[in-house]
Amino acid sequence: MGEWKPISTALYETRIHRCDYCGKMVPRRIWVIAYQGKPLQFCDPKCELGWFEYWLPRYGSEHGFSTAAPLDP
Amino acid sequence: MNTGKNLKPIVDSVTLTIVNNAMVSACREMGVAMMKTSYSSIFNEGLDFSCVIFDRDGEMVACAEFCPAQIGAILFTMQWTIAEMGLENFGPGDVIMHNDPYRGGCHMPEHTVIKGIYHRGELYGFVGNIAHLTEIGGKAVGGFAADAKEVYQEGLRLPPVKIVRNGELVEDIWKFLLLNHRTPRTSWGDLHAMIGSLAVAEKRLHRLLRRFGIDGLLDIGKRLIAYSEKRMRAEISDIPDGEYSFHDWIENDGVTPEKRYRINSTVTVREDEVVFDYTGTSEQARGPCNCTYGVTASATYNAMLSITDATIPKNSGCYRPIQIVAPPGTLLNVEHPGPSVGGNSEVHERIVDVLFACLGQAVPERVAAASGGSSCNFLFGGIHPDTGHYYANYHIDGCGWGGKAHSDGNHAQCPINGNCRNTPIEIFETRYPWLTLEYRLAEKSGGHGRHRGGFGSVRVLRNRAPEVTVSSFMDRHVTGAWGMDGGGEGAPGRLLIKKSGEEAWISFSDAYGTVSPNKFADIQIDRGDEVLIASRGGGGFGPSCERPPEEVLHDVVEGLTSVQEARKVYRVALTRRDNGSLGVDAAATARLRRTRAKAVRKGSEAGNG
Amino acid sequence: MGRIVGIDTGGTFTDLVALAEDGTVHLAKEPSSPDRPADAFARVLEKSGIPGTDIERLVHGTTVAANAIIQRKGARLLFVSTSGFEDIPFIQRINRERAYDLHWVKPEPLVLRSNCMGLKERCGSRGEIILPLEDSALEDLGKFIGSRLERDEIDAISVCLLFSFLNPTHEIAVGAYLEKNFPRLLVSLSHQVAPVWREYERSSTVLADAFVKPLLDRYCIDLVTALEKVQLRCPCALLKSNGGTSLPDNARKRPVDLIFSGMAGGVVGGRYFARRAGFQNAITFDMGGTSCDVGIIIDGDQQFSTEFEIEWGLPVAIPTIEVRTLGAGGGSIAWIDKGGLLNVGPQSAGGDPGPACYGAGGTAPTVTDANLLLGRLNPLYFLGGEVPLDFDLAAVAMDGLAVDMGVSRIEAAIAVIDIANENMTNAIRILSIELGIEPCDFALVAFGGAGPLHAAAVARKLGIVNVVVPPHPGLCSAFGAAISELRVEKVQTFSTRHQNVSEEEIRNRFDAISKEAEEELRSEGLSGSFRCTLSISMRYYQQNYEEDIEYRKRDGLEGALSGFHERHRRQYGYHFEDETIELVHFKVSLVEEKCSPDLRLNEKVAEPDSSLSRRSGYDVDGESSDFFVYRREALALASHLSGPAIVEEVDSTTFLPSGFELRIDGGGNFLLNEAPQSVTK
Repeated sequence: MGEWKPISTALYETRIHRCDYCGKMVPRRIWVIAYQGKPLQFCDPKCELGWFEYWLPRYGSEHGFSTAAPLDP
Repeated sequence: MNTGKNLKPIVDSVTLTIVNNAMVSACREMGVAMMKTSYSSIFNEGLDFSCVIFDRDGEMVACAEFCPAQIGAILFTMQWTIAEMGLENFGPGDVIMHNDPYRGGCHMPEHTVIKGIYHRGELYGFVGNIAHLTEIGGKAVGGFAADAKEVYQEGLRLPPVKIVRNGELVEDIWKFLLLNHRTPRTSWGDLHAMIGSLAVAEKRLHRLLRRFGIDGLLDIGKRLIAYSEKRMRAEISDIPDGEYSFHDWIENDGVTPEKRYRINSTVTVREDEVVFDYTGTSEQARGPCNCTYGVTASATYNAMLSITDATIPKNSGCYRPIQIVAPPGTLLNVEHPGPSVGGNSEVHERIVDVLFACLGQAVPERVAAASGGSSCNFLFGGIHPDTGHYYANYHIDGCGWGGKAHSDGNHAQCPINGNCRNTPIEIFETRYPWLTLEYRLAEKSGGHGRHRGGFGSVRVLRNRAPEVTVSSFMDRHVTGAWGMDGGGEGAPGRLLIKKSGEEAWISFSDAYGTVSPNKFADIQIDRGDEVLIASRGGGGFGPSCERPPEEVLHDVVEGLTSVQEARKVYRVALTRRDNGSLGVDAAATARLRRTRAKAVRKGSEAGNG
Repeated sequence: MGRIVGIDTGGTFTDLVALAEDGTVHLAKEPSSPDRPADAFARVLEKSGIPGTDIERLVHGTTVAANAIIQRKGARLLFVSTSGFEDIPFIQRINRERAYDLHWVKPEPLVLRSNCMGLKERCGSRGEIILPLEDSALEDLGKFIGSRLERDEIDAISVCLLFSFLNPTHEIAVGAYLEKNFPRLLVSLSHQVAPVWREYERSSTVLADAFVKPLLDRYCIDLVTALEKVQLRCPCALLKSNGGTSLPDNARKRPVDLIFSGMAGGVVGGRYFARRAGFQNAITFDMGGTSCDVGIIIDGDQQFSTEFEIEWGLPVAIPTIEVRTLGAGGGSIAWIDKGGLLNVGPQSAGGDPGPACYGAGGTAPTVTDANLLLGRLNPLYFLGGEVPLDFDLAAVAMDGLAVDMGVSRIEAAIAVIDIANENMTNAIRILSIELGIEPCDFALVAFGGAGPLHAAAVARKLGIVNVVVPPHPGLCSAFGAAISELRVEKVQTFSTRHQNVSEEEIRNRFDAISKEAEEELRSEGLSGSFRCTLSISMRYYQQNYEEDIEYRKRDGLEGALSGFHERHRRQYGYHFEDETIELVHFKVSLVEEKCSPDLRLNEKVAEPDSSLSRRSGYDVDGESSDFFVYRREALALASHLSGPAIVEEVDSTTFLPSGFELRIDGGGNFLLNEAPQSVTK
């Protein structure tokens, strides 16, 4: 089950988070799920659906995890 | 005036049309105001800007794009700004600006300004525009550091900040910004042009809000968006389902020797939705040929809008059935701190060509063969010998466009990411210390085909000043634009220099040791040096032996092809009539074409090397 | 003193308006003869019954040049450019008419590429000669021309050399060479046609000039023949695109000036009636069967533009009255797009087959059909009864639309009118922002066959308070031709910065241009006095669009510069006090000073509200209504009407919606206003 997690708004935090499905930048809150123990982050549940329907059958789960910074603990 | 219709709960289609037209008109008026008051010529002659109206949910309700390059980007820069600032932090009379490429922008020179629209104290939505500022500080003059290796060299980067608060300039930001631009007067003028134009659209929206109220206008906006979505889905349904792939190469990134970069695209059409998947694209480059997400999205929408019904109102709705998958850290979705200034000008049009090659596998009658696909970005600056003042200019040239199923490609046209005009020679030479020796169509540069590719142009300039600093960011000098359906390749471009007193034309790499012959920055050339910029031709469409003989004759008479090429490539025999003019030898042509028809039609798509 | 006569050749009709000295008006109308336009000209003159000896002045607005260009039926051209730049007509400005239109084809220039030749010469950006023009270069040109003549491939020559607007000596030398060696070929030189910078625009202009030169030559001869029969006392002048007139001998030398002749008359007429109604600021609104022309009068003067286009991408850089043409007319077709939304135009049923109600085979529902169904047109009195309108055919056409939309016939008709009005409103708004004005500060002068039908609704949408409908609105263009003045405009590019030029230099430049202009004005037959306006187009140093600022001798350059700052501040909200200003074009405008005639209409003895009839129809919001229907000629000067009402006349119909009032002023104009109690926000 996914949940919305806030993205840090500290002034010194300038890293940009990306959706693991479509690659778009995400500003303030990000949709996070866990897949096989690893976290995946998306723009919204629609992109989560896209990941399962389009990405996973095509590329598997080894690829596509973004290089974005981890979220605040 | 209350006609009674306004109170109907169901908004009728007439009102939809009227409101849509009024909003698009307001966006156009924004653009006209910007055009007339801005300072940079890339802004006002190049029309490098777009104007939009958003509702408070961050959806685009109407737009007037004067430049296709930003149609994707402006969606995301606006949405990002609204989300990052938060609705509660906007106030009447506030204007917010940013130019961060990683926050949805195309590249650093593009600045987005956004203003909230209030009616009786409540927020309706936003007006905004995005425009190219010529000079933004950074490593190179003119905002185009062709050899930048990271974003910090490209110029001053602003996150969303308020530049006007409650109608007053936020002086601290302005002081800070203008000090970091080399031509602060120009930036001052351009930014005022942008801010001033927001007021124009605001007035129009207030009129609509008085007539319909906030809820009424929001509702109409949502219906317009739903309408466009429905129309776009209908268009996509007409495209045969399937998966269509293609790829192309960017020849170099300007800083890394001997490395090229792959643009990869797989387009999947599934009923009324389409996915544009750029997986398989090379990792991002060190040099600034990377594209931001904004650029890739803009190119994707550009291609889709070019092959669908142009009367669909452009708003968030028409983008809903279009999905984009752009893996971060690649050429088409650059991550911090990768540079990106060249992606918008030079790679956008290459993405579109790849997408046309994909979509052309499904709907060939709607697309075109590859275009010349380069803006021939050429920047120069220095101290003017006549005035003693500093000057800088960002120069572009048109290229030939690809042939299509029903017509030849146009000659010398601004590439598809923009809609700029060229600078007239008489204005160019009045402002800048060059003498133009030639400006003509590049002979035989269009790919042959049933429908010819358009020709590129050749421009030869001689430097009149003691020295000029030049930069360049061009591609497509090695391989030409591919043809489609059996059409031939367009001729590649050239960028050459002839040093004063020498006879030979050589590349800038040979002359100055630059890593790349077509991407370099800050080379000083001397008085009397000549520069040749040849833009590329478009690819042809369809086998050349299917071009009607009368048209081939016309091409020969008009100097677009030769008698020999007519025979060899187009299989048309020409003969001289009694009065001296040329005519078609029908019998010989029929013979030539019969022998050709026996050969199997081959595709001639290049770029798979 | 005899009568002044204006004859306007339109697409369907050729109109004649004659004004006598005592202010009485005489009208005549004949169907146009597009194949031989001079025939309709002669016929309408004959039909008017006015003896030629009774005509003091005759001005003719013609579409001959415009049609030639639109239909591409003109001279076969040879184009001479500076060597290395022969492809300028083909490269053009490299932009596209629309984004996302892959299939758009660049406009074809008026000359074949095989007939373009580069001349070995070169002038630079200061007018200096970089490569002199040698005899050998002219001989090469001679050979090129000779070969084309041998194969009978050309009729006329156009010349555009780089920077000829600064230094015309090479073009003059070419002209002299051609005069001597090829005296029978007509020649156009760009520095004479349009001495302004931007080589593509200048090339396009000189090509257009040469393209219509032989044709206009012949037309002037036809006109003279036609007039001989009528024993005219005076020569027939032609109406120029800038609203001034030109005698045939001058018109033949620079025929490009006549390209927009047909459009200019309307604005000149509209301006006259606006002023007589007391409005110095007005928007002229001329709506006919196919299109709607919108012009702007500011401070009593029409506006001018040098950015006109024959078609998108083929500019003509001559001073033209600023008129925007919208594809919105009585014949505009209403249609449903793929998504189910209603559109009106830009396709038009034109004059043939025309609206469905014409009964000439048209089946698509048009704006005229909608007006008829809503009771705003009299089927038996359209064009004075010459074209009977078939109500049932209109109903059938509209029903098709109504069924698709899921509404009633009347609701569909109301929607069609509303959208047509919105389209026109939006176009007027864009024009006003380009000119920096607010429509609500202006009056709307409506004419043409359909203008007065739509004016009140359009005015309401724009926030315009005053609407003027002149007498005989359908003939306003011919009227404009009749009252047009002698006018000469001269433009010259001389780009410099304000710090680099002295007051004396400016005076000298203006004096030189004024002298040339005055000579031309005298050659047009000016005997009286004239008004001279000087202006300089300016912009801040790095901007690309200029504003025309008037230059007054007593205020000098300083005055003009502060005028520019002020104009910029007013229009855009800011200005830069100490910024460099670029002066670009010097413009001289000389206009004949003459009194516009006083129109006198016959005094009516009829009762102020003796209406002709009642007709049931539908008001602006679809409410069914009983209209009072009047004939204009039966209305007394002191009449005061309230809407909803219709006023008919032979050449037009005025629709007065409820909430509007109509008065007639001393000049015979209708003045429409919203009645005070119905003004709401």
